[in-house]
Amino acid sequence: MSVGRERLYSMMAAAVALLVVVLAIAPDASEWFRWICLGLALVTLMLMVSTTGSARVELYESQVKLRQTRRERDEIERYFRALMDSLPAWIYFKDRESKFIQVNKALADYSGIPAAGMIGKSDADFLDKESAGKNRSDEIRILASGEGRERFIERESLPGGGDAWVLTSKLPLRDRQGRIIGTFGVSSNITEMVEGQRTLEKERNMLRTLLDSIPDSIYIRNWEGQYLVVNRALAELVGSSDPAEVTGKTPFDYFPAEAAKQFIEEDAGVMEAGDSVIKPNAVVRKSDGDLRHLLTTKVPMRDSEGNVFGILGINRDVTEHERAREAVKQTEHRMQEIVDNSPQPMYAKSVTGHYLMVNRRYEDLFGMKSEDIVGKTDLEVIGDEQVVKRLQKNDRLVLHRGEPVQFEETIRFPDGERSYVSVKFPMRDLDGEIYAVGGISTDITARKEAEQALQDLNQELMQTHENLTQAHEQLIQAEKMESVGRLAAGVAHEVKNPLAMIGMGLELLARRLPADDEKGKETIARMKRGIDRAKKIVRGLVDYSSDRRMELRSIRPDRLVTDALELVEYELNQAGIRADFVPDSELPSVQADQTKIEQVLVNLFINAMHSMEAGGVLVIRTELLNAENVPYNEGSRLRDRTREGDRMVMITVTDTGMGVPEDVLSKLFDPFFTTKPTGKGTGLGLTVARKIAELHGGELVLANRKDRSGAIASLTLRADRL
Amino acid sequence: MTKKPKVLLIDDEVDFTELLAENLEDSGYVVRQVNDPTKALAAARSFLPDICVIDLVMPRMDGGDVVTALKGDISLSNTPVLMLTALVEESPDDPGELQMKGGLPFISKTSALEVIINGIKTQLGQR
Repeated sequence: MSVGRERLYSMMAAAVALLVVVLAIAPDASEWFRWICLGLALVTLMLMVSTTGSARVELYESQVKLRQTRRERDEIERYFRALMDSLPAWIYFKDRESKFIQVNKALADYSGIPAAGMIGKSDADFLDKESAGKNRSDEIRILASGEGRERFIERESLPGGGDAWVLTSKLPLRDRQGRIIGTFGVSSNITEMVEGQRTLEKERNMLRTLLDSIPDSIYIRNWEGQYLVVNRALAELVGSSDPAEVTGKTPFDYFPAEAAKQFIEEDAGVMEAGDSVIKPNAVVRKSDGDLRHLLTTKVPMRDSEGNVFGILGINRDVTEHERAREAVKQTEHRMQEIVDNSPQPMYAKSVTGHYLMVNRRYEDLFGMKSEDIVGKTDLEVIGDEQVVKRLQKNDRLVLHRGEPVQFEETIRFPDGERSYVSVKFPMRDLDGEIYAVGGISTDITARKEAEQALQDLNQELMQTHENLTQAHEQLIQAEKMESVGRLAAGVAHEVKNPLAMIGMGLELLARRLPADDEKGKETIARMKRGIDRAKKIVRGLVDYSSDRRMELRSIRPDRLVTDALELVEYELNQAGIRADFVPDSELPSVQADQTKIEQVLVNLFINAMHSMEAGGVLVIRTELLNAENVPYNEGSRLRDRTREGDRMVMITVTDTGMGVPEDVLSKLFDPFFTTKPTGKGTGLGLTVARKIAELHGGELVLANRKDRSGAIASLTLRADRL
Repeated sequence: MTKKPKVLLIDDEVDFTELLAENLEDSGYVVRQVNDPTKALAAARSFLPDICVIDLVMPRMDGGDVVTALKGDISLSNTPVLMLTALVEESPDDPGELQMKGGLPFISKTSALEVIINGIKTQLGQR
């Protein structure tokens, strides 16, 4: 051992001894501790004495070492100083009394007090009482326990006022012997960092709130299908109350394996393709077995290097929407079923006349499928232009009126016509705009037929009733006529006798009148005319009731007319009437009693003549008719006596006179009915004429000409069979 | 002057026969009337007329029976008859025409005197 070293040792021992003594005499040291310290001092002194022998030798050596050590120490101190002055953290050293021993530049700068000014002072000199007190109690705790507090964050009041967030470590300061001689601390101002972190946190919370309040479920899944981030909606979707609970789980935890597998495969597809997709999904969630309809958007997620690490999924829950749609579809389906099973054809046509829908009955009716009808027009479906025109007219009326209208419509089918009562109505969209005409048609063909049948039956019944009434009237009439006939002969005889007697009397009187008695002559002439009138009436009656036997023979109709015309030729000329008759020798002959038919014709000619007082034209025509075309009197029995194929010759006598008043027409054939002035007619002429026609199996009909320019009489007689 | 022809009127109508008789007498005939047909034959037998003018419808015996009776009498069988009755009508075309029915000439009772006289003349002329 060198002298220097020895000396150093002895000096160190002395220092220890000295320290021990100092400590021993320290006023607060306990008695036994002082004694120990004094012992140690004595041992040190002895050691020093024993080594003094070699001390000189080693002195030089130690001096060299000492210089070297000083240099090294200076060096370290320079480093330390440099470090202290350049570190941004605040560093201080305090003694046991919490007085600053050392402060670095950063702390001094921060405090605004030169380092030298701080040394020997405590926090109480710079800080508020509370902060200083807190620091002091921290330090006392460290001093007592030897335990430091490392890396804690606290709010620090600043000496210059204000405060800051600091990251602090406070540690015990020990001497070489490990004794705690004070404390030291390092604090970094992390206010900016803390504020930044707070802002970040706030932002994160906002983002979270945003995510959680979005009704769409949002999640990020990685390659393994694990949920990395989920929002509240997703948690709810999978039946969890806490999004945090879902994080780290996979779809397998919440959905049936099949579906989960599919999701993850989809994820992989999106990640591999690097493109987003949107597609609908329907899943049953495990928690409550509820079927959810989702519209899913998946977007690949990339990290800052652009590598895909997962997918961002957004599920829009369209279950309610889907269910509403389903409900609408259900309702529609139900309506369609009702509509399809209706026995009535139903249809809707657009305002342009194109079919929008038809029901099954409609399809059946036209033998076409709905899809072949929709989009077509009536003309294309029904075809019958006439029918279609009427239908379209009805449709237009509904569009025009804007309210339901009922129509009777007829449609021709290959197997016949069918009638419908169609209720057609405007169809409006939600804005109230008419976009179509709807229709429901009810087949009333059978009903109409039944109605028609009923009507026919009714008609027939009424006809029968009328016939019956007429027959009854005819019976009465016939009875009346019969009586008249029976009476006529007797009456004629009884009336004619007095007439003859009067006639004779007049002859006598006439002769015996004085030649100049003009008055008397005139009276007698008048009386003779009276007798003539009476005779005529009687003659008519007799004709009517006379022998019904007739002398029928074949005779040409033109001959009948010509002969009859000859009989009245003179009278016609006198009355200024021209007879217009062109004989037609081609006509077949008729079976007739010439005298009687001539009587009829003459009667007709005379009647015509009487109606043409101012002259005119008497037109006589003959023609051949089939029995069914002959005009008949009401209730005529001739109709029943003719057979199909029977031919009749009709002689028409037309005048240009005044015609017959309508109310008179029906009475023309009544006995004693006459329109002629008294004395001009007997009222029996037509009665007898008709009787004669009937006895011939013919008919005598009187009517007015259509243009009211006179009367027309038609006498029909049976033509000879060929 | 020729002898006046005798006419027997057989008719139940008294008023008529009276007037006709007077007219015929005025026209130069000798006239006798019988108003009961049952007495006609007797009257004819006694009167022996040149012509009998007979009504058809009479009570108890009609004109036909009277004609039969007259024809059955030898003295009267050739005496012409003229049936004057209300049962026949005057022919509208020729009022003076004698209508032959059943072989007998008929003339309407309501005919004018002239017509009747013509009828009588015609029948007398046939004798």
